[in-house]
Amino acid sequence: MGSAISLEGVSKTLGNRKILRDVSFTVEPGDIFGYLGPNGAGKTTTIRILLGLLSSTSGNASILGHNVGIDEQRSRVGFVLETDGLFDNMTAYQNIEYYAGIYEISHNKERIDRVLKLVDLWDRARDKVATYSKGMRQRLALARAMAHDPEVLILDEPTSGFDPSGQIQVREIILDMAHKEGKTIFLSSHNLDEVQRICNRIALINKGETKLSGELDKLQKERSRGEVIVETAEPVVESVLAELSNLPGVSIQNRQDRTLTLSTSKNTEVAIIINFLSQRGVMMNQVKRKEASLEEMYTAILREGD
Amino acid sequence: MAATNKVFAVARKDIKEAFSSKSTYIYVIFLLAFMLPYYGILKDIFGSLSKRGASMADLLLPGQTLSNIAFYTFPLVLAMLICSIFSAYSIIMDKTKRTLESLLATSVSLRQIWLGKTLAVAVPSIVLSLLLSILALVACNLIIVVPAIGRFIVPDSLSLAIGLVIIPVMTFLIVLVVNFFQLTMTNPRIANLIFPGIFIGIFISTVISLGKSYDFAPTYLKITLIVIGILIAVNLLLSRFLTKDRVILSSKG
Repeated sequence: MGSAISLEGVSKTLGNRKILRDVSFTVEPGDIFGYLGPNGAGKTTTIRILLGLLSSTSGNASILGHNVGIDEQRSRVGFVLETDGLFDNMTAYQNIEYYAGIYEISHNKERIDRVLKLVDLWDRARDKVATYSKGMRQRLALARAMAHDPEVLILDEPTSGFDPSGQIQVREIILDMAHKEGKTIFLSSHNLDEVQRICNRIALINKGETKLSGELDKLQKERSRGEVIVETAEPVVESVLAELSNLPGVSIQNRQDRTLTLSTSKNTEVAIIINFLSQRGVMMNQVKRKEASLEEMYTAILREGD
Repeated sequence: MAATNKVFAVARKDIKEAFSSKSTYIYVIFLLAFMLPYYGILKDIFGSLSKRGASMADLLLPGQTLSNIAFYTFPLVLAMLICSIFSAYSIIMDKTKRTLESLLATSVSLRQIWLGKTLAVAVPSIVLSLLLSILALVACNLIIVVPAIGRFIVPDSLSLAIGLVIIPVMTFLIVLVVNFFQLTMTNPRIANLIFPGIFIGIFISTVISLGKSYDFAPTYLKITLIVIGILIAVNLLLSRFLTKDRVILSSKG
């Protein structure tokens, strides 16, 4: 099975300005893909290219194996853009009905009811969108994106400007879409915590260039600074600590009651530390390699770019 | 068939939105005022001829002439004015409220959107302008013509053909051009000025020709056919320059 979304060396120039430079990444079917970057990095331009709204100057962009420029293929893609694109003078039901007509959905009443229930707006379906709060509008935009049962969903900052409860609600809907409905989700976001919580694959873009892309877990491991956290049952005695710090590639970074933070070289196996301590009778509750957080990766990469 | 359904889905929404606004109805009623010059001229001619003791045949000729001119000129005049209103509920509103981008991101092609938006403006404008023209014709007949000569005066076949076929085609093609500019211009309201511009030009020439009571239907037909030919060529040319890049980059944000 091919990639759900694929960008290969995509560039976009507007006038003299290079908005995207050789951007490449892939999103596999079933992924929740986080697309990160600061303002003006080129995220919205990438989304516009994926949705066929802008053409790329060079490179290939495809969704579900087809070029993004083919209009008919977009019936397999749902989207929520930066602006929700809802019609204020129409009811929620009419808004979805309009798009159902555009996508020529058969049995559209059942489908519209279903997506409105999914985003918990069914009881407000006959109200005009002008009376909706920002959170409700965004949920309705998600329902519209789902109305034609697309395989891929492209969401541009779907929780931007929300209070925490609104963010949680939208996040739960996105997770439902991915896990219950089996959709592939492409999520552009500023919210690193949100991406860390729900995405399994990411790409980071800065100044129009892909700085990082791949599976989040792997990237976190790769980018870890070699820190190992050891939680012991009792405080470790000084003599053992002195011996430990003499191990090749290991140094003690921090020591706090029953928690040791060790700095290790990348090829130092955690098993060596566990063996060493257990041989000296140290009871350990937990030993883990500290992975780089998304925030750490993000700031480090942006700093490298500067 | 699927492509046609999408075009109609685009058009239907805009038409519904326009008719859900009270201002549309108020404007249409206001447009009836543009029938007054026709009514006034007809009344003056019939009044002065009757005073001079003119026969029924003397009254029939100017009545027929006025009826013809009115039927092949007023529908276009009115259509241009009505277009400017319906146009405000179509691309202009979509661009202002930034709903056009969402429509462009669906499986509808840009040409289908162009056509759908054009139908949304042209069809109600043509229907309303024809209805208003027929209404005015009937009213003038009932109030002025029938009391004077005892029967209705119906426009001749050439005038009817121009009014019912040529003018709608021309209106559609004009809207197509205006919509191209609305789609690709940063300020689509500027393109909308084409409608009142055409209206003013045609309205003035119509009132002048009504005053002279000179039936110029064959000349008018030739001119409109040439204009239609030019508009078709212009639209074919413009369609080559219609790209989503242009539309998106001309939209705010």
